[in-house]
Amino acid sequence: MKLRQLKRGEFLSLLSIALLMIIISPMVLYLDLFAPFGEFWKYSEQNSIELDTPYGKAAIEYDKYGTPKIEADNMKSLFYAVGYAQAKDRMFQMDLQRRLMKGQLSEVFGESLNETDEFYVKMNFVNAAEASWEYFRNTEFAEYLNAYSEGVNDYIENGELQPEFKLLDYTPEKWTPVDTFLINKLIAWELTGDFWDLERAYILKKLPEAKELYPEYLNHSYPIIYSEIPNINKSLLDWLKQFEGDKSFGSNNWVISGKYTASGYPMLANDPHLSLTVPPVWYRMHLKSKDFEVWGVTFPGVPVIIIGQNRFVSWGVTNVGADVIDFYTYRFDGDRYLYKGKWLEVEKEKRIIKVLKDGEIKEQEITVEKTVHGPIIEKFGTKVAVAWTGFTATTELKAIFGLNRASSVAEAIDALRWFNVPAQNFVLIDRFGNTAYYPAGKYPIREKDGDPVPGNIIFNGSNGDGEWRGFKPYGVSTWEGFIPFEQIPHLINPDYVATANQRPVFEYRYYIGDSEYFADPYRGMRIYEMIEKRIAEKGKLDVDDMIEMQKDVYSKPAEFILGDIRDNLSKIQFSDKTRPYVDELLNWDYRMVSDSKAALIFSIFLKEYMNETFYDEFNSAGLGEENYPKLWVLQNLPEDSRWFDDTRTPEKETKWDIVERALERTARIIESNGYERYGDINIFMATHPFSPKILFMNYPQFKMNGSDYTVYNFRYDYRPFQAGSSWRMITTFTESSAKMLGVIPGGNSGNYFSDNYADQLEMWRDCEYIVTEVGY
Amino acid sequence: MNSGIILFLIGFAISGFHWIGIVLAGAGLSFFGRSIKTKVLYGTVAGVMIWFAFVAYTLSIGIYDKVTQTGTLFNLSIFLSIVVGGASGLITAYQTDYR
Repeated sequence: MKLRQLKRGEFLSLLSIALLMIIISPMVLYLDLFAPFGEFWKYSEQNSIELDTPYGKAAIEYDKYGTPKIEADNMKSLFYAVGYAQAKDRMFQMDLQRRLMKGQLSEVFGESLNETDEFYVKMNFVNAAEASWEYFRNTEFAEYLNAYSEGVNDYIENGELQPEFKLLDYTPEKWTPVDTFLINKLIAWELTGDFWDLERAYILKKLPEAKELYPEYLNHSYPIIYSEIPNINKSLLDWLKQFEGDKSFGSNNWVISGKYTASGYPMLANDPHLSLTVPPVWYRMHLKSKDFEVWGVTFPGVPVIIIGQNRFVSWGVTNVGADVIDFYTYRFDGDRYLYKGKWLEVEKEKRIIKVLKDGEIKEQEITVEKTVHGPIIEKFGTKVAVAWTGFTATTELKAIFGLNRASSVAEAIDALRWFNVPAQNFVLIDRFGNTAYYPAGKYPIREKDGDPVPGNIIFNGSNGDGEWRGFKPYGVSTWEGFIPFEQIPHLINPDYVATANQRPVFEYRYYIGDSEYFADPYRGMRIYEMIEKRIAEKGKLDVDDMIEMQKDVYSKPAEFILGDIRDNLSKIQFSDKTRPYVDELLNWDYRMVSDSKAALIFSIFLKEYMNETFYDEFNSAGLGEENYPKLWVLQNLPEDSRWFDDTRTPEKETKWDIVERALERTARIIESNGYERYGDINIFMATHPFSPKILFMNYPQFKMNGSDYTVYNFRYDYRPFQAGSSWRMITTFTESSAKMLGVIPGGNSGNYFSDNYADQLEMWRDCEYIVTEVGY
Repeated sequence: MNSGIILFLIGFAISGFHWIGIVLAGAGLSFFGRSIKTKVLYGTVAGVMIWFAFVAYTLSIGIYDKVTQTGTLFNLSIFLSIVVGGASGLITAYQTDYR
């Protein structure tokens, strides 16, 4: 058969169709996503959602700030709807955190996160979360957690996923109750996962005289253990640094009893200082089912209110910071280790990490090892086992759920018995006028030969030194070797109490952490000072006083350090260059506000003062600025302390020489960078996980007040995020209602296209609040 | 109604949920072109019309500012509309008789 000859137009048409296909085929993914009306742009704001869950009806009503009020027929349908709402608003954040804990980041983000995955797999958080789930599997909580997971999965299957999933081209796996416990473990790890014991051992090995810079509360020496340390080295510490919690995390909370409030009802304030992320770490919600009603914030992935209020009680938390992690070395013989005279096999388990490399998923085998004490870290020639209170089945969810349901401070305290990790300073109030402070958590008691010893050292695991009785990693612990709940120092019905991560108590019979585990006392001092001043001046405080206190940017370090300089001006030889800077500092009101030049000078001076004091000794010992002691230690060194002497010069320097040098360097930094005001460096820059590759999802930048030492808390440098007040809350009661003022740094929705993506940001900056008021 | 218009309207409607609509709309409108050049031009016009409809949609649901802030991605939506629309105009090139 002879084919008809094509007309030229027909030929052109066929040619153009072929051309069209050639043009389009490599662009299909882009077309699917970014063509007009493409997948990436799909978004619909839903203010009201009716859910017909397998357990009954539930309704989600969003207010103008994107806070869901979820009402349901029963508890199971309520938790189902909570899962649905959280997945709608924060699924990417939930999945990212779950991937971090499971060691699945490099599967999506590539091999650069391979080491991170390796660490998290080897620490075996998954088994710890599974142990918690096993513990709850036959309780009422299991039903709620299953319902919550089903709600999340309903949204994954039927809802519009966030833009991040579209950009990364994957659909999240189904949520399970174990994933909720993984989020629980993640938060606990971020607040208590601390390698200070190893770092301390390294510092003291390199610079033994630095021991005075890290005072121990329990003055107990344990030199034999030091000689057992095989090879703690800087490479190991630098590697571990990236996986430990941010040590500068802090928080404030305080309560004022009705005795000192204008209304006669107690008031509570809380602002936990965590990473300032996009979206924020907290998710605000309001839950109601029959008699159960509670509101406040939670971590996405957790179905209950972690900080909040119900019609009877309100509670807030700060991190205690206690030492709940220990390290053990052993005598090894191949894959065996000596333990109390017996040779035991190291338990080994193979795990697979998936890594995205050159556009393909490749598998990598990881061996997870553990001893009787916990998982083994083996890196850079060091092999230690880690015991952390979170590595066992823990019951925080039960405690928090108990708080959600409590109808008095007494009931709330009873619920706190179940709170294991991270140990938290709980402050509590109820509408009947009660107040309380309880630092709930599991605090290990370490012993050697029957005597208590501090836990800031590396223990000889082969001897069984310092081990925690009743602790079973990845199983269910009996906890008998821990401080009994009743013996934890606490206050019932204090007139007022303030916590800001300072040491909870002095003269306590048990070691709970050395000075490095607790924050400098500046914020705590300032809060007490403000409360007492107001009581002295006004007698009674109101909500506006609480707001003013949360807004406070007064720097106690400035007061102490500059006061010291003022008292010793005659001893300091200021140069012509530094004189104007000193004058600026001495005529300052110590308020860290963005338009202050003195705040700029002081902020830079503090870092330079620390550097000028410690750099010579620390650097020559191979230590870095991350090993410097706390500011409080520097502030209280005597003026002729050996640490002020610059070992590189023949002269003997004093504190005042170092102050002048630090000021010189400060002046140089300010002038060479052209800084004029504190706001030139103190800039809010919260970044999305896709930054710097994609910038539009970052929050807008702006100048900030505050510092890491002020009550209004903000730290501008990245470690790896900026940090500050991650949720500001004030609660109280009236005769007819429970009232909460709250704000988060960003927005309740994690969906970039939502109106509620960053709508609370300016309110947060300005200490304005969204009010929730519920009648009795 | 002219079959080109019908194809354009069908394509326009389909573009609301799939980019293949741009191809159909571009081909539909290109029936009005008499040369390769004008067919490509009509195809491009179809793509741009769909893009304007998309902009109107983002305005109507209040995400226009967010969409424009995506920068490169927003520009990509214009680029894809023009390229795919223009190239689709060539589909009806068989109508052009060069004998």
